This record gives sequence, C-alpha cells and structure tokens, in this order.
Amino acid sequence: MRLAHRWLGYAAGSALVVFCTASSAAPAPAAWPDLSGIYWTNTYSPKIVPVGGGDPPYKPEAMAEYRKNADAVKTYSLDDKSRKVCTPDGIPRILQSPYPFEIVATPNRGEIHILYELNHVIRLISIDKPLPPADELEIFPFYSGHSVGHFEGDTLVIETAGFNEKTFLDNSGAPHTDQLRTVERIRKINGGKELEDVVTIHDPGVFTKDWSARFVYQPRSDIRMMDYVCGEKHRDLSSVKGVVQRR
Amino acid sequence: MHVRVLAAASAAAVLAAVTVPAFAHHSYAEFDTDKKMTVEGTVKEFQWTNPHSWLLVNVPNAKGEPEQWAVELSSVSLLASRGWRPKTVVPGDKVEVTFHPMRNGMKAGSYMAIKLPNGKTMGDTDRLGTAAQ
Repeated sequence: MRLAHRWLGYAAGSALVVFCTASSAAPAPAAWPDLSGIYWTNTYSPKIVPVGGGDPPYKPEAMAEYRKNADAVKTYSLDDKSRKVCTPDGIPRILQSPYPFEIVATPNRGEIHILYELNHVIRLISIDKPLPPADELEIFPFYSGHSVGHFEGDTLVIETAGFNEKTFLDNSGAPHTDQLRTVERIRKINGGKELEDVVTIHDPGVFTKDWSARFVYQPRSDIRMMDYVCGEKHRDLSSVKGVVQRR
Repeated sequence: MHVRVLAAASAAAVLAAVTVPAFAHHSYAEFDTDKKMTVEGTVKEFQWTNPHSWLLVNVPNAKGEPEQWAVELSSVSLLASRGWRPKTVVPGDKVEVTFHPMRNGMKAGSYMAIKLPNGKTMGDTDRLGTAAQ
C-alpha cells in the first residue's frame, strides 16, 4: 500500500510538472541528435571481448566463477533466468543481442526509450536528469538498472546503476555484482551507415579495473520489430555472423 | 493485439511461478497468528521482491538432514522502511527466524522477527494475534 502511495506521489508530481510546462511559455527543447530508428547487428559473439582483446580483468575468485559458469553454459545447465523464464538480459548483455532493437526519442518528455526485440526489454533513459539517490538504487534494483543520459555533441551518453544480481554480463556466463555501473557512448559513425555503442563497465566486486567493449549495429529501416520472448518462434538470424542455431 | 496481451500475461504467470516458492498471492488466514515458531538455520536464498519477499532457510530436522522452510515477508517498500536492504541476509548466513506458521503444516510461515549473524535482532516476536508486517 505504501508503494502505491509512492507511485501516486510520482504521478501527482509528474502531472504538476506537465501542467507547469504547458502553462508557461517555455522554449521548445533543443533538438537532439537523431538516433531514432531500428538497428540490427550483423555480427555476434557469445563472449563480450574487451576493446583490445583478451579477457575482462577479473579478480581471481571472479575468474573462477566465470570458468564454472562458462562450463555450465556448454551443458545448458547454467541457472540463466534470462533464457529459461525470459527475464531481461541486463547491461551489457542485451547490447550483444543478435536480435534488433529500436531507439525511440521523445524530446518533449525528455526521454529516450530503447526497445529490444529479445524478451520485450524496455530501457527508459531520462535525459538531463540525475540518477536516483544511492538508497533508492539499492532498494529498487532493476534488471536493466536505472538509466539517465545526456548528449555530448552527437553522442548520447547513458549512465546506468542500480542493477539486480539476477543477470550475467554476457551469453558466456560472465558474473557481476550489484556494484555494477555502466556508461555507454552511443553515436552514428561512417556517415550514418552504422551505430556505435562503447560501454565502460565498472564493478569492483568482480573486476580489478574498469574496462570497455564496443558494439556496432546497422540501421535497418527495411525491417520491423517482432513480438518475441525466448522459447517462441523467432526471426531468421542466419544473416548475423557468429550465430549458431541450436537444433 | 489480443495475442500480444496473452503473451504478456503468460510471461507474468511464469515469473510468478518461479519467484514465489510455496504458493501465490493468498489469504492471510492461512497463517495461524495465534502461534509463533522459531527455527535456526542457514539462509539458502533471500528473494527481495514484490508483492512479498521470501526467505528460504535450511533447517536441520531430527535426523540432521536439512529441510527448507519458506518465510514470507512484506513488500520491498515496507521492508525498506523498517531497515531492511536486499543484502540484509545473504546465502550462508546463520539466522534465527520467528514466524506465524501455516495452519496446514506446510514448512512455511509469515515473518515476525529475525536474529542476524551479527547478533542484531529485527522485527518483533510479541505480536501474537496480529498480521505481522
């Protein structure tokens, strides 16, 4: 019941903000660099490889856990809720998804949504807002964390924290803790022919230092998003290099 | 549109089935609020989740074999307002949990209080006859 009150409070607050915005002669928000659209990668790897190659800088005990998880992946015995009951992948795992995603920008609300085809994942990125206080991040951890963003030139910078510990960092069983924080830098490259997301991963619970990984996607105005959760019939992934279909 | 709604509902049902260990949303009458029971055991899992959080504790039986008890706690917001956090208890912790037991004898109950490994006690063991929150 108290939670309901809390959300009612948020709703009332939001209504107030909307009212004030509508009644004042506020100038239109500055135009955001246009990243909207559907994107799909053409390459896939189950293991997220750091920029520069090699393994992520695991602490020894985390490396042992990773090896154990990676062995369990090979025998389909990893306790991986994202593949068994279709919960969200979390960040950065969803970034390596071989399925498409769509970026939807609503500047008048100060929000960007990223919709992922796999498991109906929706990320809400509040633009030019601070992250919730540490206490709230701890009490209300989310699969995809809590995200805020801002633009630096043509680059969308997304900071995410407040993750639960029910996910892995990639499809090879990379572990993490609730100390995980990520910073993504998303921009168009090659004259708009590709979209780049460089994610920096901070988790002193498992890593000796921060590290980065890079993902590249192609704009695909020729396709539409599908309604897909794991276990159902899905789109043909044969065009994505590196995908091995399980038979 | 219809199919989409059904798919979402199915996914929610699956989630509910895996996150609630013993039974789904239910009447409080299933707990005997006139009784209290205390077990000592080792935390197997703490599910920090809505609508109710759950604590799974392995408790040795008369033969010394571990038996799982499922203790239901309140919502995340309510627990947080009473000082709980997602890692107030973690797997492996030795704890002493007091709860209103189920009327039907299932190894489950409604949380009243807990003694943590550091000796700190949370909750209240004296609220017989009331719905513990």
